Amino acid sequence: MKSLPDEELMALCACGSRQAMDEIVSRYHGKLLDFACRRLGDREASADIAQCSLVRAFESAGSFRLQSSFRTWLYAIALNLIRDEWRRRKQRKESLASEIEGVDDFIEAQNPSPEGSALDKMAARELWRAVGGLSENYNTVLILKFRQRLTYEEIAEVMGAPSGTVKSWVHYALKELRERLGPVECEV
Amino acid sequence: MECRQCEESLMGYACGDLPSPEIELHLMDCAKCRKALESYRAAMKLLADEPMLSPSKSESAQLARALERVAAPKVSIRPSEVFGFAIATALTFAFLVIVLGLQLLGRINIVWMIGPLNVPKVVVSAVAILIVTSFIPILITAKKRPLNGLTFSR
Repeated sequence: MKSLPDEELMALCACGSRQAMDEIVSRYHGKLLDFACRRLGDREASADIAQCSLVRAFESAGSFRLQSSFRTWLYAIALNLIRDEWRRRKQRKESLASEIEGVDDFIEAQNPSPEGSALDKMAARELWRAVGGLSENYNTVLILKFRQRLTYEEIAEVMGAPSGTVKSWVHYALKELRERLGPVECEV
Repeated sequence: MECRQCEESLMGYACGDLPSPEIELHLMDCAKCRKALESYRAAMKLLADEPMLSPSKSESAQLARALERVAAPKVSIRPSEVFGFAIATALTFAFLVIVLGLQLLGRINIVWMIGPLNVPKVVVSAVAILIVTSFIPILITAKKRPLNGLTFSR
């Protein structure tokens, strides 16, 4: 199972293979959790989104086309769920500031590595605070590109935008990030 | 090349695009742009180097429970299907009661035989009715449930 590509595993999932499902889960559960957490800063909601994305993918395994990329399909499901959650929060009029604080608290809680220097932690904290303050598209492309290591083409597929646009979003997001971080980045 | 032009290409360079000779030349001479490039690279490294989250035991257990429901064969019967099967059974039973009643009243004779197999007509009719009425639940459910009930639009 470990050597099979995602798409073949999904074909097995469509036939009801629990082993194939477990393999997909081992590959993507943590990644989806990380993706949602970096976007929302809320572990509980992110765990729900990660779980729901995988369940939806498995439920739709029969309609998955083998020639498509499973990875982009799965991230597209997760991104839709994140956007729904984001909209719900906006409707509840939770301020952007509280969302940024949420990301901030989350980084604080998730970054207990003793080997990391105080400077690294501070830099990471500042960085993620700045990422949390970016617009939705900029925030998403940075996470997909640098955390999830998707290519421009894959991000374009996930977000439903041309890859040229995605590339410029990444560039502008980095530029804005640098402006927001100010002199701190030189210390990193 | 000026710093402003160089900065436009720096992000791409930092992201792994192939650098043009002009940028490389400019970077050799300009400390400010070199610093900017380093800051982009440092930010990208920080973004990438944060350890990936791991699901907790309770989150994994919760997902495993959800997947058990997905992996389980779907044998649930809907109320409409139960209703259809009930109609089919009731119609067959009613037909047999009528035929037997008529036989008891002497209006028909069910010992008539069909063809070389010597099968009583009433048995043939009962089987035919059973087959036809069995399609009722299939027709009812086929209208309501798509062949692939799991659709997902991207």
